[in-house]
Amino acid sequence: MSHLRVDLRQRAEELVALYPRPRSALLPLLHLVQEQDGYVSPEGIDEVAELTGTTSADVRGTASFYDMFHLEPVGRYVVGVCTNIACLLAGGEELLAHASRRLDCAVGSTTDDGLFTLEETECLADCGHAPCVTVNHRYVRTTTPEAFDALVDEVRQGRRDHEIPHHGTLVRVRRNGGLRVPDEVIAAERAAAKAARARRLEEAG
Amino acid sequence: MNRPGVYEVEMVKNTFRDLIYDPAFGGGVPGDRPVKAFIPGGVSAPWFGPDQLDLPLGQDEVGGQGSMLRSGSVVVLDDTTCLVRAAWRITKFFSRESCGQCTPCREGSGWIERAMYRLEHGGGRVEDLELLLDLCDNIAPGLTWPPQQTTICVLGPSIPSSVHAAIEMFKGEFLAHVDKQGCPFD
Amino acid sequence: MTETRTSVTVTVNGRAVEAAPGELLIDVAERAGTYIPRFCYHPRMEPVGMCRMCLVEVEGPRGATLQPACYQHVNDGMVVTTDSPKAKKAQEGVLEFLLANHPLDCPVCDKGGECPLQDQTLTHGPGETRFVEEKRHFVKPIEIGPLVLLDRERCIQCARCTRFAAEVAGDTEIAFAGRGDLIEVAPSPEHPFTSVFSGNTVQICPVGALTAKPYRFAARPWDLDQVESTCTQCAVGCRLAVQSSGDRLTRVLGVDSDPVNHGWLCDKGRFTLDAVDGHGGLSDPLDPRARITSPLVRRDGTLVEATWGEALARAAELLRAAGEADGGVGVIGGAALTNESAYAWARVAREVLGTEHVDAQYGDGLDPRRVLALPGATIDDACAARVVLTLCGDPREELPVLFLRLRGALVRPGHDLVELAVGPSALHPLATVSIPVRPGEAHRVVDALLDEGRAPADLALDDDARERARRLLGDGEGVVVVAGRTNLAEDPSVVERALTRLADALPRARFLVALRRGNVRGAIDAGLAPGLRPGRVLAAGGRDTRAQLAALREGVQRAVLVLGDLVGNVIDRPGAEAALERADVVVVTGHGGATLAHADVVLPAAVQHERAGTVTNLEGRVTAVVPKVVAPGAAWPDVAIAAELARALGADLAMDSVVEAARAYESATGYPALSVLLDSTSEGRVAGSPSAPVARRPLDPMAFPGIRSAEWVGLGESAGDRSPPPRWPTSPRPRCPRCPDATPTASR
Repeated sequence: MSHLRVDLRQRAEELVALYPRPRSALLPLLHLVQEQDGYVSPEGIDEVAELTGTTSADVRGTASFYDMFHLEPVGRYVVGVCTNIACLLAGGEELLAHASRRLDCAVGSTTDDGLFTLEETECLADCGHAPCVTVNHRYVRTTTPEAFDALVDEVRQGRRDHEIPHHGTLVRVRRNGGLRVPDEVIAAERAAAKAARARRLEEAG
Repeated sequence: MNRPGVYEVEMVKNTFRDLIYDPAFGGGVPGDRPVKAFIPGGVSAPWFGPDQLDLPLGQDEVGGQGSMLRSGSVVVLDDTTCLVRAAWRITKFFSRESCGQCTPCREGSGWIERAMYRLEHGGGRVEDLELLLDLCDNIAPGLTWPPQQTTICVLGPSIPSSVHAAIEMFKGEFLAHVDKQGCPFD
Repeated sequence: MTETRTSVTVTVNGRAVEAAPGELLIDVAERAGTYIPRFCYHPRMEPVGMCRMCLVEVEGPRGATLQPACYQHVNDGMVVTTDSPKAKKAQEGVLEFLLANHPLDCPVCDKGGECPLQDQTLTHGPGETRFVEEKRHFVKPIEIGPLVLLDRERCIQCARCTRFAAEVAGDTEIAFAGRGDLIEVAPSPEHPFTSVFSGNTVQICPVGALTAKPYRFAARPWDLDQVESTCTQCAVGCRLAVQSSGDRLTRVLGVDSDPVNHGWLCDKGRFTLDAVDGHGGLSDPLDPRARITSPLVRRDGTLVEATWGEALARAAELLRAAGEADGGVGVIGGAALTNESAYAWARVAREVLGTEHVDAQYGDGLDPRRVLALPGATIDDACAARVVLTLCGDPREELPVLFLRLRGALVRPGHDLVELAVGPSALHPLATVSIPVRPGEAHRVVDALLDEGRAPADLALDDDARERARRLLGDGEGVVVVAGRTNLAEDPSVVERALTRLADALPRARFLVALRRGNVRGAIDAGLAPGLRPGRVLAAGGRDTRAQLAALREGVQRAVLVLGDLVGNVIDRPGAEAALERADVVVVTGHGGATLAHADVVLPAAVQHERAGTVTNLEGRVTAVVPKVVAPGAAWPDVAIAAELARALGADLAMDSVVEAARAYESATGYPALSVLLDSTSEGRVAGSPSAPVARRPLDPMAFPGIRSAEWVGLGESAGDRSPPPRWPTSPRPRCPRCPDATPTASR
């Protein structure tokens, strides 16, 4: 009896078949488990071990290495606030402290209603919008306490559900093959950026 | 930065000063505060001071001065920034990112991080400076550039970069932390 | 053969050292007398270079750099410095890092006194800590399996245990979890660490992080005395070190024997010390866990204690009376004895009682006349074989360390496994071709495999698998067949016929016969087999165990001398009980058991770790067993019991000591005995095989192959000195190597 839903189990088997060695599919499979259960559940670990021909200890060990995998249940929304150097300079620690007060939950824990889990993260690669905040690994570009409060309200009311699916949902492992961006799209984006830069230079004199 | 962001610049032709102050790029430091130090290429890179602002953005030019461009992410620290806190936070990053496989990185990053935290939050001792440099030396022997390493991978010698630079460049600030038994910027 | 370069020259600390190309620097240096400290390196596992303790300076194109000696393969002209200030600083730095989060609870740690971390801190480490921060904390010790506890605070993350599980045992039940300085060894919470090899992780743990329940707080290492011996739990014959504190057995450790166990043991071999002291003194003679400590004689229906004189007289009386009728007496059992004991009993049977009805196997083996006549292979042969063909039970269950050895070979390229799969087997995942075999059909499957033409349809063989297996087997060149009893309900002739056919069809194949009981091979060699006299000389007739039991039930045979617990081990237990019920039964045994319900006389025997002698493993290798403790009560070694019983029957075996018995056995059979007995630490000898000198790994005083205790540092062999390495320390304890009056070292 498979713990994964029929569609996810089928996807898991496809992923295993993609690689010369089944164990290579371990991480994508863990994402599938997290998508279904919201966290990497013991039952999911056992199933991934079975699918990849490894053991539960091996799968659990691997999952525990990565911050994006949660081995214990988390809230529907996992809020990450970066306090690494660029965000620190831009007030990341203060924003994290504010988030903790606003959500009434300690950093690293989940709100009583099970809705939010608050985490302090390392660099999220969006230093241009420091301090960087993500919800379920989606950038929300919320850099002030006021904006954070508004975000929490909107998420609570379900008004951000169209852009922030519940925790664990990742599009990539569901799609066949990798993300492919056509060359002409890249060329067009580069040209637009170059034009914008020229325009700014002109404006600045 | 007034205009933080991602910019494409021509190598060697532009300088760090261009990148930081040019209105097409960084657009200057908020409040026109002076640059105290800057990180030329990611948190693994040793820091530069204001003297090196006119250095061209080139691998060899930066490498010749004892640091690197590598990831190309430039972080500017102005005079309101506590360098101990900055160096501590970078070490904390490495401590969390260490995979834990080899001893000097796993234990060294954690030790340095805790000692830096202690310095920043009161409890610093004068001998900590020497201790920190020696721990750095045990990860990257000789603290040379390019670095040597006792670790398996180059995350190891990345750990001492900021702490070593901070102590070399701002020893007084460290001693002020010891004197005040806390952070003078608080 | 074209000539290839067989040696390179490496300079270690200014001294030229010869080495084989590709050898690891850490081994080359150690052989040359330069010990490089290490934690993660283990000579029986792939190097990983994780702990960084073995950093040394190696000259390269860009000057000298620090390299881990355990990860550096030597090449010609390599220049290495292990004691430069830079190398020393790196090593001391690593040690300081390792100690930073280490709890330093040595006074309450089982490892204290034999701890490589403790020892290397003494020799290579700083005297004082500079670490003033709060140490890392974990809940102390957690049970990760039924036998093993884990103290994560003490762990130095060397990955020896996890690598053993993944690389050697192939059952990754423990793995690292987490990241950075919070990584910890962890089983899956739902699946505890139940590997049958779990004890090895405790032995190779270089700190006190992993401890075994039976030894926890049982003794201090400096109170332990030890002997090297051989395990007799199964027929692999693993070499081990038996340790005791006073007259109490405390611990068993694996000894690295190159041809046999590579230092590994199974948990059964390692943790069965309870059996020796009768689980703390159980006394019910029907309880197989209890020890028999006094001769017993049945009077008015109950077994009562007697003197040796009374018991021997009664036994002699019963056996003599039965022996007066032709075929009236026989001997069953003896596979758990030493070769000398087995030989003594074989002589009692044949020369004194005048019977050919002797069988060491309880009807659960194969006919030695057929299977031991096949061209033999050693364990090493099987591991070097191009193709291994298995027709046996699951070796991980029956002969665990043989499984480890075979697995270690089969995971490497160039080795294929053809499995005649009679049931689930731990080797199955490694099989190149697996051919399912139903009970009773092994001989037909083998015929179908070897014959041209179509296979009989009822065998349901896969043509493709059959063809691939046939191609792999060829004419048998480079093929070793591992053969054993596959099914106790099946007639043994099924496997015997299959093996005979294989030997005929594959003339160049060799056979490793996996009879599984402890010293069954030795017992057969010594003459405890029907139709085989000592030295495996063919003789006429003789009833095997099944036939003897039938003869007893029919009243044809009147008495039986049982060596061990027949009823507790035989397949047809009711049949055996019915047979013994009618017979006069003399039992020689160290333990209680159901057989004693039928015994008229019980003669108490010494068991393993209480007796001296030699044993023969499944490949025919003869090694020594050495007593560590004194047998309890009035129990005697079997050799003595046999000699005294013979005397009571009016005969003199002229074997009043083990040495006499060994000499007699050796001269009667031609198998090695006395020489092995007198050098109890040798790797043993396989009769008939050229005995090449084996490069012997020192039995490390702390039983950690590859890690020597501090007191031996610098005591390594000098270049020309090939004297045996230092052994287990005897008092007085060696002095601190740092002190001025320390033993002068060879390398300085």
